[in-house]
Amino acid sequence: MKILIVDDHALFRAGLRMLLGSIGHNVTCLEAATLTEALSTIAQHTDIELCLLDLTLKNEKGFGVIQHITATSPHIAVVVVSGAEDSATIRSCIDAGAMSYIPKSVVPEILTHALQRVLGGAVYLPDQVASTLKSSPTDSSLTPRQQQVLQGLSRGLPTKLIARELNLSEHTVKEYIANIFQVLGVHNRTEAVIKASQLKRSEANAPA
Amino acid sequence: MKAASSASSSTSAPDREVLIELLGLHAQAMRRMPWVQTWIVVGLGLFIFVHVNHWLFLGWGLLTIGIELGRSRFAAGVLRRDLSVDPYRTHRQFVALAAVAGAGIAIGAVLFLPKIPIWDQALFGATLLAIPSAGVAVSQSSRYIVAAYSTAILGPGGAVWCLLYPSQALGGAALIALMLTVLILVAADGEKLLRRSVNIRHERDRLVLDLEQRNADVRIAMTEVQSAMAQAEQSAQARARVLAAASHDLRQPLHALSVYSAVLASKPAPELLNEVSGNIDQIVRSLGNLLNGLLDLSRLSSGYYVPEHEAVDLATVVAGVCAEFQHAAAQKSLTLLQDLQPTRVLGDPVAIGRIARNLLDNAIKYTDQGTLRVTLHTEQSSAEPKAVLTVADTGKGIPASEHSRIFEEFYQLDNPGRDRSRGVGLGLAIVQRLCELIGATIGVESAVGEGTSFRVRLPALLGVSAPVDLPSAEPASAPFVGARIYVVDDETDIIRSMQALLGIWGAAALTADSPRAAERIFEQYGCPDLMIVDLRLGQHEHGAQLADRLRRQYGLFPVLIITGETASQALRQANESGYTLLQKPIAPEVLRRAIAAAILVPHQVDCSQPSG
Repeated sequence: MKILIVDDHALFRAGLRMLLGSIGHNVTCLEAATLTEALSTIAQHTDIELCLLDLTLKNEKGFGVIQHITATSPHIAVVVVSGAEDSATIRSCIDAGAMSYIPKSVVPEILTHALQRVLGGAVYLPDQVASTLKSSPTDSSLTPRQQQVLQGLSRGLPTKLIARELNLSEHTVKEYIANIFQVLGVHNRTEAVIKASQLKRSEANAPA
Repeated sequence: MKAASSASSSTSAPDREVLIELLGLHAQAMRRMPWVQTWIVVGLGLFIFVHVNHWLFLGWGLLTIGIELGRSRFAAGVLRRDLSVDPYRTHRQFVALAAVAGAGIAIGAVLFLPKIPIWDQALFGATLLAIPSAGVAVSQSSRYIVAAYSTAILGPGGAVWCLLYPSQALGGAALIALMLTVLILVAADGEKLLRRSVNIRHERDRLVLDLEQRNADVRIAMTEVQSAMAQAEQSAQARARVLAAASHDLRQPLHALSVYSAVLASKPAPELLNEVSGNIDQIVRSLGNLLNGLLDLSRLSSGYYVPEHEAVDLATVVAGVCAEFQHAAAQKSLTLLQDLQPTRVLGDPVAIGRIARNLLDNAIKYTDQGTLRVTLHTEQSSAEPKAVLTVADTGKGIPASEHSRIFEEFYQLDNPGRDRSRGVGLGLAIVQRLCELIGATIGVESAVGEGTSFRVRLPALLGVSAPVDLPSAEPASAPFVGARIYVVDDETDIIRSMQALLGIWGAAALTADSPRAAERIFEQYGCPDLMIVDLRLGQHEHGAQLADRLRRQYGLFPVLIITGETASQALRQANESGYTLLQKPIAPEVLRRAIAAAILVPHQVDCSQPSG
């Protein structure tokens, strides 16, 4: 699995690289300090699956960076790893297409846990964000197919790409999405991602 | 003697003021006198003109009117100038003029009284008596003017009358004497009245002044409170800004440490451990730097840091700092050039070293290629010669719009991402704070793309430090070897700097912070080669008095008096005592010359006690 780490703090990048190498299997980490570097790395390595992104880079800032990456490379799941930890920022990141959000301030165990989830293709969001949604009974009522669609949705993939990945028609995917929203009791993608972060890891970790 | 006269003049201050008041009123009245005299002459003329020699009478009339015109002109002149300048002299002049005017009138009595009929004599006599009475009013109660004027008129007038009528001589003389006495007593009473009114006015002025002073005090206190509040608010804002930036900058390394903690917990491959420990080390170092920087800054800002005042060999300090950075410069392939003119200042070597270090550190950080140039020279052009330390680079330069911001805490040019490998952004803030503390000024010249040059001007230049490099015209570095110099000053800062300076010049300096301490030194060590004493000692005795007293006791020794005052009683006395006065702030060069001049005048040193 190829992972791109984008952060302007070199020592933090190095730490993440070591941690990912230590907890993941066959993980290859690439590093970039700026958006420009990140984009050129993405262009060179088309097999990057995950991007850990700091929200405040040297010259670029904010959610535009997430949109930029998801728009140009929809196959990359963007996970924001940043110093901010307020709910508004985190929701905005998901709105912009991020799949997960890991605050830098979390304690080491949580950081490891969050990265493990992310490596497994699941969504991680801090508890405080999940608690902003009305807690509805979240059980394993999603079918494996629905879970696959939800995962695509979480990664910020457009319907067309989800359909292509799952060998379904676009129309069917849309129906799946409507069903998922109904089951989870949510109204949009962001809420669906937040819900997804509360799903048990074993379910989310279902083979794609 | 001097003191006695000044004391008496101070007690007679109200009298002097009364006199000034009196002179002013008298001078005013004098201006009307030519008219009054004209009317007297015309009035008398109506009766006696036919009986006397016309030309004589006209001559007399013109003489007396002329005298009054003269008095009037003199009075006008007095009114135009400042009455407080020697009022006693003016008063004497007025007395003399009154005597002249009275004598002028008396001439008429002598000339005309014998020539006119008895009825006209009676009228003339009455007029002669009336004129001095009116004179009491005109003189505005000066006993002396009244006495001079009245006696000048009544003396000759009475004498003529007595000669004309010898039978009345005794009674006439007694009456005239009585009249003179009464006139003078009335004038004295008037003078008392005037004094009282002047005193009342004095008191009122004092009250008003007092009130104004109090108002001014309150206003000053108010402005002080306001400015203190504004300052407090400003510093609170600055602190909030620093705190916000600091908390961001402190969190970044903490986040990184948290990652490494997770790495270690994840049981990484053993070959990774070296890198992990190296990185943790780097983070901890930068965290430490940041914390130290913050602590330094807060220490410098809160006034806990008291700079030293010692002789600093700038060239050595700066060369040492350059040596520290030689390696860092070489790593970036930068040339580090030094042009250090040997220079010494009175200052804080630690602070100066820190300033140089931070500036050089900055220069290396912001320069990717080219040359760093560290120069040290002296600047003689300004009133006070200064040592100038310049650190110039060929880096990217600072836009003019940013020049004022670069000294702010956490400000980093072109580093919005706050990459900590480029330092914590406290260096220049610390430099500026240090400069303020040691009385130095810092300026920056920079153009984008051409480089930046920081220039620190250090005060208290002591001179150049290596005499061997200099033409022999320069004074030797230790010109006063073996000279014993006592320094008396109630400010410990001055004492310390003076001691350091004198030490450099080879003199043995003993210091005292009070007259009492000075006495002890004299008791123990006898008389010095030179005593340097501050005029203001914060005690009842000022510097010149102390010097006088000690010289009476221990014999003549040279004295230099230093003072920050430009006008005071003490300064005048010091001037009169003939001691050499040096105005603060004293440039070391000036002091050196003054000391040289003072101890090289041999006849002044004449100590009765053996010096030990």
